[in-house]
This record gives sequence, structure tokens and C-alpha cells, in this order.
Amino acid sequence: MNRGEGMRDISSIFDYFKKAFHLNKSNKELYYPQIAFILVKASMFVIFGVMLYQFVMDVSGGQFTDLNMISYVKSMAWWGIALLLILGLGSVIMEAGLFNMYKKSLSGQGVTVSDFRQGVSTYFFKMLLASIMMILIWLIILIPYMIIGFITLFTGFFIIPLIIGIFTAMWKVSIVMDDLTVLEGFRKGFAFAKDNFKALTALIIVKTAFLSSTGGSGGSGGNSGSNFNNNFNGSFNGNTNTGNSISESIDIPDFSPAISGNSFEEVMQQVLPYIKTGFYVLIPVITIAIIIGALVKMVFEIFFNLSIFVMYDDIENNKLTEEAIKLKKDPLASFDMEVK
Amino acid sequence: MWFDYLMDDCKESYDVSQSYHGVYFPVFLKLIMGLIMGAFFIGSIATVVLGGAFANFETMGGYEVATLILKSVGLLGVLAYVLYMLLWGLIEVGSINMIHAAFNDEKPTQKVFLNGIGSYLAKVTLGKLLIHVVVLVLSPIFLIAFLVYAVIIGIPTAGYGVVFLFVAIGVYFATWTIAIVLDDMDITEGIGESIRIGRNHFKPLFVIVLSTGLISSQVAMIFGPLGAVLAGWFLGGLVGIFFKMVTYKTYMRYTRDGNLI
Repeated sequence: MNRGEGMRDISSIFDYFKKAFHLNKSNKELYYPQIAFILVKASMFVIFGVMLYQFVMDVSGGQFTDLNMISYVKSMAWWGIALLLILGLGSVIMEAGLFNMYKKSLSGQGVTVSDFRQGVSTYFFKMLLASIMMILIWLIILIPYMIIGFITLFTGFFIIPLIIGIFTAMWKVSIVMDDLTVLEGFRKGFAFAKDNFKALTALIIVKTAFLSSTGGSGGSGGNSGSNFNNNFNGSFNGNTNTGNSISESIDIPDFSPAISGNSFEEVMQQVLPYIKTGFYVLIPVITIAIIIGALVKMVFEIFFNLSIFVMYDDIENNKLTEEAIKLKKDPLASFDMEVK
Repeated sequence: MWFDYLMDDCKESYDVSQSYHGVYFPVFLKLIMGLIMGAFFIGSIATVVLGGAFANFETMGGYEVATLILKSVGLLGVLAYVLYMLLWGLIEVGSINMIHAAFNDEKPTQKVFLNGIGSYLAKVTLGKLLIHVVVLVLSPIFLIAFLVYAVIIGIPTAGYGVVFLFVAIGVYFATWTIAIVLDDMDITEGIGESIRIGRNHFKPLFVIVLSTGLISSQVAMIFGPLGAVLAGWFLGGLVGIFFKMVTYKTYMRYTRDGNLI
């Protein structure tokens, strides 16, 4: 098949959107795993908030010695690492399960939660490997990326991720749709992007516009968890500040003129009611914001991921049909193809 | 199904824009408008300074200085606003004329652009002025309501509540200029018609207004900050015109094709 055959015009993306919209409407089960994952993330945030609250209370109660502060910091660090691991693996699980659900929804059969489980058991390791390879690719190109980014006056910082995003958009999709290995999927996804560059670029730009501009965090995909991480970082920064205050209590020179003249415990006693109120208000408000933000982003994410699957399915089916017609017209072509 | 219709309209708008690239001409006019506004500001300030308005600046008291600055800035502001409104009205009416022509398989030329400018420029400009005056008069109420809304809805919804509020307001004012130019309506009739269409066909217009904002800002920033300065106006402008065409098609669909409201 010649390069460019099967290439679709940009206007065809509106047909994909149309089909994705109907698939979305008739397969509400697609939302269940994402909602569960969002609730897990929100619960983890609440647990982290409660831990932080307990930490602040302990600091204000003066229950610190050098020894148990180190154990506190250690446990917080372990919790942070566990959180990141759970989120990372959770995202891969979601991707594996959901991609299988997208595939099933395209076949016209109803989607069930067992399709999610089947997807996880079939594609988890492939998705994990693909995600690790993606991280490795980014690590390899990181220095050239930075250099190009600065040389092009920041233009490269925007264009390179977009191009990489376009050429890897169909990687995991082809792994799931055609049951390919990770490397075969990469090759096929790359070739697909090359043949359908315009339409795929338009689709990816529209998807990015909706997902990045609105912020928040959905359940699946490589960019999931960003908002949660932002909030997590925000909370962690607060914790770091508290850490500075602790260092003052353990005879490190006082750098804060505002509290000079008072002992650390006295200052803590004065500000404690405000800190408590802050926790009581912020933890529920941020948790609700995380949930609502993630739910809105989830709707966009499922819709655009379905559109990408519809595009892949449509173009690959057309390609097969075209090849079948060709073979019907010229049976010898099959020998040529085999020789090639 | 409203989404199918919307996608059909998007597809048709794209195909028409590919056949008649002239519909994108107002993008350049908007750039020229920006340049004119910039030249006006620089020219005005230069004229005021060279004209000797600030000649005795050092000898003036605080009150005199404040009055002088307020007068100069106020006068320039009013003149700039009038200039902006006239240019905006001109481009808006011309743009609708060109889109209308393109959808009717007619080449969008300069003649088409200027067609009906005399009749509709005043209406469209005064309509925008009316909206601005209403917003200005009610601004204290709007501000308080917005602050309350932002705290109660905006923060717990991670900002989506605020984004969706502005989009929802945009829905009701998405088609008033089209109604005035295409159906020869008065200002109030046009705004009333736009609100009616927004109410009866909220979903497709919501998607159009949201997409216009998100995609045009994303496309304008696609080449980063430098690209945004050099080409952002062009790329964002193309997206803006495209969705103007979709809005036109949506308006026509729900007021013409047996879907009278």
C-alpha cells in the first residue's frame, strides 16, 4: 500500500466525534472504573491531610525529640513514595482496563466491568512496559530537548512534546486493538501517525485544548493525577514550612524575627486554632475540588480517547477493505505483497 | 440529535472554508485593527506631550497633576473606545457577510464584505455599546454576585464553575450580530432572538462557545510564547472564524430548516 493511502481529511474527525459521542452515551459503564479511581485518589488525599494534621498537632504539642522527628519524616517520605507508586500503577491499570473497554465498545457489544478486568489481565504488563519506555525516551531526549527548547526561544518546549504526543498517540491503541507486542505497536502507531498526520494532529490539539486548559485530573491516561499531585505538592510545601519551624525548636539559630522573643511552643499555641480551622476547611474543600475537577476531566478524557479509538478502527478497516478490493481486482498483487 | 447536527455543521463549515479561503480575510483585518489601535495610542500620547500639555508639569500641585492626567487619559480612552467599537463593528458585519456568501456558494470578495455595512454597522456597534452600558451600570451587583459564586461554586469545582458560567453567558449572546445582519432585526430584537436561541438550543451553543475559547487559546500557544506573539493572532483568528462559521450554520439550522423557535 502506498504511503498516504487511507489518509483522511481533517474534516473526518467530526465523524469520529459523532461516533464517539454515541458510544459514550450508550456505554455508561466506561465511567465506573474511572469514578472508582477518582474516589481512591480523593481518599488518599484525605488520609494524607489527616496525617499532616496529626503531624502539626504533635509539633504544636511539643512531642518531638530529635529521634521521633526523623521517624516522622521517614514515614512521610515512605507515604509519599507509596502514594506515587499507587497513583502510577493505578494509572497503568486504568489504561489497560479502559482501553479494552473502548475496544469492546467499538464492536457494538455492550461493555461490562468484566471487560475492564480482562483488559487489566491481558494488557497490564504491555502498558507498563510502554509507559516505562516512554519515560526512558523522555530521559534520553531530555538534554537535547532542553537545548533545543532554549535555542528556539522556548518554541521547542511546546513543539517537541506535541510531535512526540502525535507519533505515540496510537502506540497503546494499536497494542490493544491489534493485540500487538509493545515494539510492534510502536511501529504501527508511528506509521499510522505518519499516514494520517493532519487529522491526527487536529484531533490531538483539540484533545489537549480540552484536557490541559481545564486542569483537574481524570482517571486514566498518561496525564492522570496531575491535579492531585499539584495539591499533594502544595500540602507537602506546607509541611516543609512546618519542618522549618521544628528546626527552630531544636536549637537551630532563629531566622524569623517575627517570633523572636517568644518560645516556639507559645507561638504554636497562638496560631494553632487558625491552623486547625484551616485544616477543617481546606481538606474537605480541596477533596471536593479534586473529585469534581477529575469528574469533569474524565468526561472529556473518555470522549476524546473514544474518538482516537474510532479513528484508528475506521482507518484500519478502510485499509483492509481497500486491500481486499485490490486483491479481488488483481489476485497477483498478493504475491507482490508477499515478495515485498 | 443535536450533537450530530453540530458535527455536520462543523464538517460543512470546514469544507466551505477550504473552498473559500477568503472567509479568513477578517483575521488580517483584526491584525490591522490592533495595529491601528496601537498607532492611535502612541500617536495620541506623542501629540499630547508634544502639544505642551505637560510643559509646566514640575510647577503644578498634586491635584493639578492628577486632573491633567485624568483628563488626558480619559479623553484618549473615550476616543480609543469609539475607534475600537467602529472597527470591531465593521469587521463583525463584514465577516458575517463573507460567511453568508461562502455558504451560498458565492466568492467572499471585498464587495461582499462591504455589503450592507451602511445599514448594519450602526446597529451592531450600538448593540455592543448597549451591552457594555448595561454591564457597566450593573457592575457592582455583578461583581458581588460573582465573588459569592466564585467562593461557593468556583473553588469547590476546581474553577470549572467559573469557566462554565462565562461560557453559559456567552451562549445567550452568541448569535445577536448574526440575527441583526441576516434577518435585518433591531438591536433589541437581535439580542432577544439570540437569548431565545441560547435558551432553546443551549447544548450545541455551549459546545461552540467552550470550544472557541479553549481551542483558539491552545492553538495560539502551540509554538510557545514567541510563536504566540508572532503567529498567535493568526492561528487563534483562524479558529475564531471557523467557529463563527459553525455559529452561523447553527443559527441558520435552528431558524430556517423547519426548526423555527
